[in-house]
Amino acid sequence: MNSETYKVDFTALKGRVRLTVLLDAAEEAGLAPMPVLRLHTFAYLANVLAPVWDLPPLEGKVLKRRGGPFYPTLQHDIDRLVGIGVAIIFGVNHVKNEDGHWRLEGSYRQHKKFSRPILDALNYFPEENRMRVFIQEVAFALSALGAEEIDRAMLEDATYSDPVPGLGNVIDFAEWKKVNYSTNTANAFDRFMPLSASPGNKLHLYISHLYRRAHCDR
Amino acid sequence: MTVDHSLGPLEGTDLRATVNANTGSGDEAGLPPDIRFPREIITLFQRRRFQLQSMECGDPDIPAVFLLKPDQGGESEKLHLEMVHMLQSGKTQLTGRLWFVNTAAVAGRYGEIISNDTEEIFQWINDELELGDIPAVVIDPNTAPTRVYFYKNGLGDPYTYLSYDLTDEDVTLERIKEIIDTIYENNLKTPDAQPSEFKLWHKELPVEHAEKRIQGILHIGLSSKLPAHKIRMESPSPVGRYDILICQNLFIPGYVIFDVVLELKVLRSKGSTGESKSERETLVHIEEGILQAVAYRVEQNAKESALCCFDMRSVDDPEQKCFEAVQQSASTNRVALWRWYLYSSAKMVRAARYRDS
Repeated sequence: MNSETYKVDFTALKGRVRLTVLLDAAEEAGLAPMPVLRLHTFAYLANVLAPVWDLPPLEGKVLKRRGGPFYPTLQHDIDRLVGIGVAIIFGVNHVKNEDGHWRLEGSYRQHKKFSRPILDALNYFPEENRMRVFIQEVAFALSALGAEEIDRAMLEDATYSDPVPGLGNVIDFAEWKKVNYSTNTANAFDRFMPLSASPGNKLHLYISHLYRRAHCDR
Repeated sequence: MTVDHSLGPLEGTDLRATVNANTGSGDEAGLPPDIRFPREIITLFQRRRFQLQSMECGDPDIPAVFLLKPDQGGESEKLHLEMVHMLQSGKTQLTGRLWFVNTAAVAGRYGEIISNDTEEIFQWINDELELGDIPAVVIDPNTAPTRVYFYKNGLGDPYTYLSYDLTDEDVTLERIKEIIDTIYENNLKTPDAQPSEFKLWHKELPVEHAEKRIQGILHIGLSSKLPAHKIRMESPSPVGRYDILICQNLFIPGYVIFDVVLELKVLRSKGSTGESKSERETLVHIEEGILQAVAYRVEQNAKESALCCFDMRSVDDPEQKCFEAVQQSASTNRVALWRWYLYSSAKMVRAARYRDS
């Protein structure tokens, strides 16, 4: 038996595990099934706000598109998870991308029977467990807004709404560049509180701030 | 390398206004759902009660029932449900309604409860709606003080519940000591009692981050027993990071009452790699703990402070000789001194309990 046969791409594996965590968190928060572009938004916010919890983002850059953030690898991973039964797709449809390519669209939720063993295994990895708690809290914070409001609030995100770079380009907040306006804003709430905000509270404050801006309550 | 702290497009936006509307949501992150859920509902209710103080009308004196059910199911066909977002704002009537919420209770769907009879409400939820196995919190506004019931198995198991009275009483040092005594007996005293992710011993030596694990166990235990208080951990202050701070939310922007500061120390005869610790080192460790407890109490203007020593030394010290040299200083500085002995094995517990019998 060739040892090459069993080479594991840990980066890809980590991405799929992260996606499983995102789907589980969405379900716990009442946001499932989640439309595909909103899932990309959720993944983006989990990346850009990870430093609020002293966690590294899984992905430190994202493609900036008109409708919101988009991760090509995440899209590939979603399709993979559906293929192996860990995720279920509802309302399947085909839509054309901005670049003219067709892609599958639908809403996704986890298939608990197959996602549960993956999630249970994370209990053996304290850092991954911490990440899971963080992602769950992002989901709870988003659940306060309601589904459609999440999309509106997303466009007010400090990092994503920065006019530089423009649409079609890559936003870098943790790969080469080390400035993260979203995390900076979440941490800035401390200035106005008698006791520094807990990391969980900072997430809720930040999402709430985006909601207020989306409703022109500036 | 210079770190850029700018806020980009959000520079100059009204962060204070967002803080003023802050509900404290997210403070309970990481707690198990069966502890977080009732806590969040209690906060929700207290915030609403605070809002009602400035309103002319009140909410109906009909119980409120909260079901831990974020997903939409068959209840949508049997009930007309309204959706409410930003539920923690306190602007929404809670009583007289059956709510479907997630663990954080930041949004929810509700249907009206028509009856004021608890038995009828239970029967309706269990038999007609078939939701008797969903964890539920019931708030009865007709009791004084208001009583909250948590049915972790659902209303279909009405004899398994925890109840809490919502009073305005301050939490006392005596109450905190009582709670930690219980946590000690149930979750700390022996290795078998400790949760698997919070084990404190490895080959009969204290693990490297024993303080952190004990802090985690205390956080869960205190959160469970003090559902109407905030249990804050490891927050920075100008004089350092305090271990545990117990406070009350006044629901007024910028105002919090800090009740008790707890400083945690682990006393060791040996470190995690087997290196010996002297009695002198133990004394210095305790003195440092007293100083930290004073500093954090004064800095946060808290009412009380205590140094909680978890004794993992080889031999127990039932007469608490480790405190002799610092007793006066602790008393002068109003720091309570508490100690609990942690046994490294069940064999040691048996020896201690039955040696002289």
